[in-house]
Amino acid sequence: MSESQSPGGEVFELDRIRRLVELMKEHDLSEIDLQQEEQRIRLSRSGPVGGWTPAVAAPPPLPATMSPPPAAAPETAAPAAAATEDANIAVIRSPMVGTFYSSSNPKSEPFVRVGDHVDEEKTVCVIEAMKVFNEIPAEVRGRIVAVLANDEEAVDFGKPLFKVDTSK
Amino acid sequence: MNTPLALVDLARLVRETWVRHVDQHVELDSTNDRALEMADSVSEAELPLLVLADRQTRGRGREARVWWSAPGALTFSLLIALDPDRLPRSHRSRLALACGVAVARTIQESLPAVPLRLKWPNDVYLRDRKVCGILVEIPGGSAPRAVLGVGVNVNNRFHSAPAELRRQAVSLREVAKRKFDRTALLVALLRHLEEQFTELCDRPAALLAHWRRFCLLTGRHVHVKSAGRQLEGCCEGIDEEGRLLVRTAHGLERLVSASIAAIDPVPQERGVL
Repeated sequence: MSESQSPGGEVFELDRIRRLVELMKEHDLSEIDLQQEEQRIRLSRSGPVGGWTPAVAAPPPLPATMSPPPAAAPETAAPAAAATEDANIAVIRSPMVGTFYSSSNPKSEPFVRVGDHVDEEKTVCVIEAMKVFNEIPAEVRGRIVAVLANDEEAVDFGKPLFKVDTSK
Repeated sequence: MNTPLALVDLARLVRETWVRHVDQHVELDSTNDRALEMADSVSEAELPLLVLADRQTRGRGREARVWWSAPGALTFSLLIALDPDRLPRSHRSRLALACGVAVARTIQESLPAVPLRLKWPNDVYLRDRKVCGILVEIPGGSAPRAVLGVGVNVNNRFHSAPAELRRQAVSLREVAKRKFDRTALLVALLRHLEEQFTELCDRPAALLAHWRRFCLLTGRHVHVKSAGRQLEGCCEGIDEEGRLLVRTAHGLERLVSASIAAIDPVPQERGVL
């Protein structure tokens, strides 16, 4: 998990990624794969519930983050469960930058799976940053309908982690 | 024979440190697990709460690594309250740095002539071998609290440990060729933990400056695993947020979450730690 200040990172400019996403929506593309010199980005719409899964794969110097530096993220804006286009679907977002873990250790069962019911205090994952392990509570009541992050995935502030159906 | 911590003067701990309550055990699976269990049930007046075990049978480390425990180590967890007005959520990750500095200062007082270093973010090294492990966990309960888990190799010895561990770990006793009073060490460590926690809340830049003085990696070539990536480059210390700085061939990386896979040997002219 890092922020990168690598030179020649034009292909990863946030505005450009946003434009690519819009183009994919407009033309109903399921995947695009771009390469510029040694850097490459692949955007896929094949997420578990139609969510966006930016799969970045490339030779060495890939920025792990595509959003503004976490230090600039406003403390008060930490999104927990935010309403989405579907009034009954809430999104649990990462309140911090770090590494996502679905269980307390590799040998344990995940904190939650799709179909599980959660309440506000139920721990849904752990995010590690600088060797500090933060249990993340659901902060919403409902049924998990999608897990949007993979184990040991780098997550940014605000990154969607779970979708919860609050009508269930 | 090591003095069992069961005989520790608990009144002294409460009288001379910021600890308000002690939960003491001869043996526990994990002091961190015990502290996490208690996190939501203890009152603010009982904090900081010290969970103390003479032996841990399943002490945990990062990525579920089990802490190799032998008689004579000092293992405990401290449950503290986090005041969001004093320590914003975005600064909580620096708790690991604060713990590292507290342990480093405690050991340095006992062994002033022995070079001591911190490997980012909070492993404490004596002569390039690990003398202390720290695991900080923040429970997701309603009250903001943190568990600071600390395991210091004090009077334990590694001659009977697996060969790989013998190359990586060391105890204070093995370095100093003498035994240590674990109670006195615990009192000193708890005081330093309070000082560094206060510094983290009130003067975070000073804490980072103290941490930098102990940095094992600054100026050294490191191999790092971070979120599925493998990087290598020259470590430039930590930035103003406490993130690890690694200058790779492709630019400067600011690492929030990473493990140090390898450190190239120190060139002869720089001396050996």
